[in-house]
Amino acid sequence: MNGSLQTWLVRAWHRVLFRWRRDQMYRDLEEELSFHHEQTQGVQQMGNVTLAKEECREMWSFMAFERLLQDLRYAFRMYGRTPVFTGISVLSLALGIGGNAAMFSLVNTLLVRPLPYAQPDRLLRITGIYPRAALPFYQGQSHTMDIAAVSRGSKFNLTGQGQATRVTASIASPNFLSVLGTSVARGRNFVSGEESPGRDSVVILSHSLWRDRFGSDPSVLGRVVRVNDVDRQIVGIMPAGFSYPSAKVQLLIPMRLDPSNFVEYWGTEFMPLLARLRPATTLAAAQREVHNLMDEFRGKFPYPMARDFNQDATAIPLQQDIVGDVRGKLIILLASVALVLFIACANVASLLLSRATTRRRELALRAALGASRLRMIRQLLTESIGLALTGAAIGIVLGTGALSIFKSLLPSSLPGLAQATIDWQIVAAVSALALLTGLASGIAPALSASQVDIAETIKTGSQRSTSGLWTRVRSLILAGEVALTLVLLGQVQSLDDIVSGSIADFRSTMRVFFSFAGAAILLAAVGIYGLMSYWVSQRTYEIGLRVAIGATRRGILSMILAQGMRVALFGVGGGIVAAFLLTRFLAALLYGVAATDLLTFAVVTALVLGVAAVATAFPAWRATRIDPLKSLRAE
Amino acid sequence: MGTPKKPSELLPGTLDLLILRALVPGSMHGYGIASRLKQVSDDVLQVGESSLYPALQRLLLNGWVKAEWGASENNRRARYYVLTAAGRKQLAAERQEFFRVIEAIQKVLNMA
Repeated sequence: MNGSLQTWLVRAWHRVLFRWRRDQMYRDLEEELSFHHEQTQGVQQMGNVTLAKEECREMWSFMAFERLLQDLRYAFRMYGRTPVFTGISVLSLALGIGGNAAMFSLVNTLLVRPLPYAQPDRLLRITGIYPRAALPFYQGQSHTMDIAAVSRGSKFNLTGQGQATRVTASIASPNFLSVLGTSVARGRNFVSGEESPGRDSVVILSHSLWRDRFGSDPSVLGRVVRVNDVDRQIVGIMPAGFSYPSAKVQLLIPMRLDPSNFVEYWGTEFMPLLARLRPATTLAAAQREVHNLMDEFRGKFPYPMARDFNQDATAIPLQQDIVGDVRGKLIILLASVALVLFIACANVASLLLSRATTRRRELALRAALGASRLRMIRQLLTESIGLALTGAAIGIVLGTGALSIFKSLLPSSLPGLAQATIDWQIVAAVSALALLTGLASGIAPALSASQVDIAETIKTGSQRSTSGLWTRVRSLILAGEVALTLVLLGQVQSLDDIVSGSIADFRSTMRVFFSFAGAAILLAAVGIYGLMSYWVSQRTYEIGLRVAIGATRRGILSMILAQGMRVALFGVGGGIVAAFLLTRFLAALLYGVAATDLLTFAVVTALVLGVAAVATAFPAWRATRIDPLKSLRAE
Repeated sequence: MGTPKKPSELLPGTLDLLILRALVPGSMHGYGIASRLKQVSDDVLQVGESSLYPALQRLLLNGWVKAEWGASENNRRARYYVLTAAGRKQLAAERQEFFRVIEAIQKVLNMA
């Protein structure tokens, strides 16, 4: 008997009401039952009344919700009891999730979101570079496109407004903004005719220049400034965030077309052409036309032009032109942050596994008191998801920092790059990712912990009864972690190549190197340290026994070190194979990445092994301090 | 008909339907409902506390009955249940549905 929405609402409301008056409800039920019992004196009662009361009580509450609250309370108690474990886990996850938040934001802004201009899918870039003379020729001959020209920008002197400064200015054909499909925020666009000598003494300011240099004063429109000793009237101000051809451009100056000025018209600055596909034409038609027009235009030069000048000129979508060489970098960055998150997951899973083992007694007790296996798995998953969500909260803060590092790595000409932020969409995506992370890192530990042999564990009271399977799973996870670290280090090396090749910004390269590789190595070290500490604590009895029957401290030390290095070596072996394949793949994908560089791998391998040795050293040293008398008596 | 039947062994939801029907003439306390069902069904339907009171709580939760404390025949405090308008509507709908299912079952049992 269920029913309509109305019934559902009534039921929900009553549930709240009954929950509120639960004690009264219970007393009523008790009285009612005793009345019933009196009436049926002597007659045997039917069924289990205790169970019936339980059934009623569940109707007066929100069992799922209340169990969740209970689990959360319990989880927080556990966090408080093991602050180091909690701190390491949360930080690992925060690093992984933060990097991913920043990357999601970038990929969303640069690769997914269309260009912020009208009908951006019809915008084209005509490849090759052209003298000013090309513009009237192409505009006159093309049937498929409306064509504009804009230079990439160069330095000009700005005077007549406070102190003289150097600013970056682009030379643009008057139709540039209308072809691009955007407009000024204040004032007016250039108008047709302002390319003629004598009428070209106008200028449009970027929003940032207007703000920084003119104090956002609206009355600057109409004022005259001197640009490279030419008086120009300010006619317009661009909207904030406008970034074509680059966010660095502070002034737009109309492109003068003066055939009598031979050098300026045919020589000096060659510039790219921008075009908008006319309605009812196709990209293929435009490409054919560009090819034909180039052949024709080459003959127009008043001086002999190389036969292969702009030979491969064609038309490509503007978005592809702008984002093209960034795509590869984004792919590497994305893969790197995904790897860091994987490593963090593996770490937390491994830490949880070890803790699950030390908590066997507690869990066995709970099982003996009647907690179902499902309930215990849910409790453990609540703990890991809680860790992941806390990590996500910190990760979002870290992500904001990471985003600014990523931004500094990418060319500022990318449209919307400045606007890439961690918005609610990213927060939603990251929260989903955190839930997944919590599940992924918690499921194996939860399964292992819930397989408790109650009687055995409580009877022996020992924490040594670990199942060999889960310890092996842990070693495997850690070997994988070391392998991923190695891959990442190899990758950072390739990233280093590209970045220093395209944007020679040594500092930001180093920052990225530190943020990824540093995070990865740190995580791997923490993981190995955790595994070995745990391993030593599990084998206190055995080590004590060994010392008692004559093993030397040195022997114990090398035994533990060997164990740690074995895991690391397996990881390094796997990592070298994976990194080898990956760099091959990257070399095919990206221009300028050298495939497998032996020296890099040697250095990286040495680094990883060194870190693994350091991380193992402390637990190993602790193992040598074990007092055989104490450890043997403790059991 | 051999042994007495608990409505929970019948079609699901039948007990709720029977309680709603029993309340049509007027309000009754839990024991009264159980006695009435037993009497009308010639002792075939015997409802114990363990199924009766959870069912009544379910009906309260759905807003199909209301409960009030009052004095019983022998002057003891007893909780009386009364049908609400939503409960009457629910009874009509479920009653029709019940007959439809019974008819269908009969058809199957009587097939050639």
